[in-house]
Amino acid sequence: MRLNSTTLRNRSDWSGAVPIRPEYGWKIGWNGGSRASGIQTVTGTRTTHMQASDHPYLFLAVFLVVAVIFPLVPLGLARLWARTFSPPKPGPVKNAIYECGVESKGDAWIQFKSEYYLYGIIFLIFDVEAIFLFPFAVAFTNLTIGAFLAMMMFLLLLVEGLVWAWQKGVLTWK
Amino acid sequence: MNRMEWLANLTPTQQFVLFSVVKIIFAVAILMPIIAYAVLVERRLCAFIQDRVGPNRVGPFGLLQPLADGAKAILKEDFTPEHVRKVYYWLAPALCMIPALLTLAVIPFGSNLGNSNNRMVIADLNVGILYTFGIVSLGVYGIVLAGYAANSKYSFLGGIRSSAQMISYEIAMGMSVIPVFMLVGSLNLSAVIDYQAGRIPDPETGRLIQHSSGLLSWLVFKQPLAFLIFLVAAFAETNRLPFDLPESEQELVGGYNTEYSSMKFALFFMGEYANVILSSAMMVTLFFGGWTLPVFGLEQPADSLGKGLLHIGIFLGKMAAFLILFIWVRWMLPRFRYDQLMDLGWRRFIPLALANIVVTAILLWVRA
Repeated sequence: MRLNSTTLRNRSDWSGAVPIRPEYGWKIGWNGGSRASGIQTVTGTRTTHMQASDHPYLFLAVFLVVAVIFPLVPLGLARLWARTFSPPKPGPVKNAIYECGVESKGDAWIQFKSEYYLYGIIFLIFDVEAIFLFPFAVAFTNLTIGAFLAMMMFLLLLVEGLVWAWQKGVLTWK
Repeated sequence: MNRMEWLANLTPTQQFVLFSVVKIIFAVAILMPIIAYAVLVERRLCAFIQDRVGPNRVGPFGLLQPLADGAKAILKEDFTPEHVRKVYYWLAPALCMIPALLTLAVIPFGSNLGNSNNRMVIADLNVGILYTFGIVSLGVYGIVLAGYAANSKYSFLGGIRSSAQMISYEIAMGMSVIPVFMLVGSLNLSAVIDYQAGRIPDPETGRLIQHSSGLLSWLVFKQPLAFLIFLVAAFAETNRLPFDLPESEQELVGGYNTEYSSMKFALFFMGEYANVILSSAMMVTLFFGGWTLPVFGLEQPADSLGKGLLHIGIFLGKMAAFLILFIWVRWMLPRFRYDQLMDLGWRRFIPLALANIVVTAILLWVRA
């Protein structure tokens, strides 16, 4: 795989004398740096080994398949066993909804408290905010004073949202 | 060296497949016994706390109990009640387990095995923590689906309680770690461990420079408030006492898993323990130095096979300590009331986490 050997060569260049500014932000990582220092010690074998870090997302895809198969195997086994050795013996009582022995009345899919819904909306706002805060945290050391103040402003706006919701009593569970 | 030649003769693609398969099998093969024995440890420990003996019949000291439990889960009648939505009912246990497993992929559980090529992390993502939070928030689907599909009032209430609780504490959890990443300057989890071992990148060249480090360079000592919030949020996210409202036995029988039995119930159970184990692993990685120890040069990546294995052992040891903390707390504290729980999440932890971000930002800014 040509791509691989060239990336490796590039990386070993990294560990050479060329000073490279770390890239912060979305291409995050002086990670390249750490990898580069790793490469130095294994220059002799670098063509024989794949760098796991070259394909982290491929690994993830393989792992996803494993993770999906993993719970399906015991489920399938149990089903197989049930099919072959213990066929289901349903009855009206056994099939009834469990409510501690009392007969169930009404539908279970009922309307539920609107508070849950409000929390859902506030959650959405704050979760998106948290996602914005991560790149801010990573780029933090290189921020200019303007960017820093802008970020504080952004935080302030969201704090204001929280204070508003608090005063409205949305955050009080009734 | 014969083995190495055989390895070298493979094409890179074959090598990739081989390495990924070996690593994944290795990780899952370690995780599974841990889950099984976490259940046993929980039962034995709670027995000791309550002055009982606990399961001690199957094998020496009850050590084969997990096998017996597994056999029982498979042999029980695979019963599907008539009133459920069948597809979702079957899907929910699997959906509970999958995210728990997926989080494992980005956690560095060791340095390497004496060769810096085989790093002990399945996928060394440069956005590791974002991936983790993304996957963790998927965990709520399994529970909501279980609550909905079972068509039972207990399950339904358990499901919505759980979802509201999990999304509330997810915010506190996400925000609590932001100061950590301000200090570290990268979202990669290996970088977090490097930082705690004193390997900090030079701002000009990006190359790692070894600074002096010790126990105090662990992030738990630099960000104690962040750790506290993360710890409590981890309890809430995994539905463990004192936040186990979704499955509170006295009101909701079993909550979202009331209508489940046999293997499907076992999967929920294993999913919960997998979540507990992985949040322990996250805490070890983020706040307790991961696989490093600040003595005997153990904060450096391994240069021999033995040291590499020792690093994995250190990681597992720290994780086990957190696991025991999870279990200990469960049998020591009473349950929160639901309004108190929401109150703690929204009106205490989120403002605290926000304040922690601002204070850390200003302190770092002033120092720089």
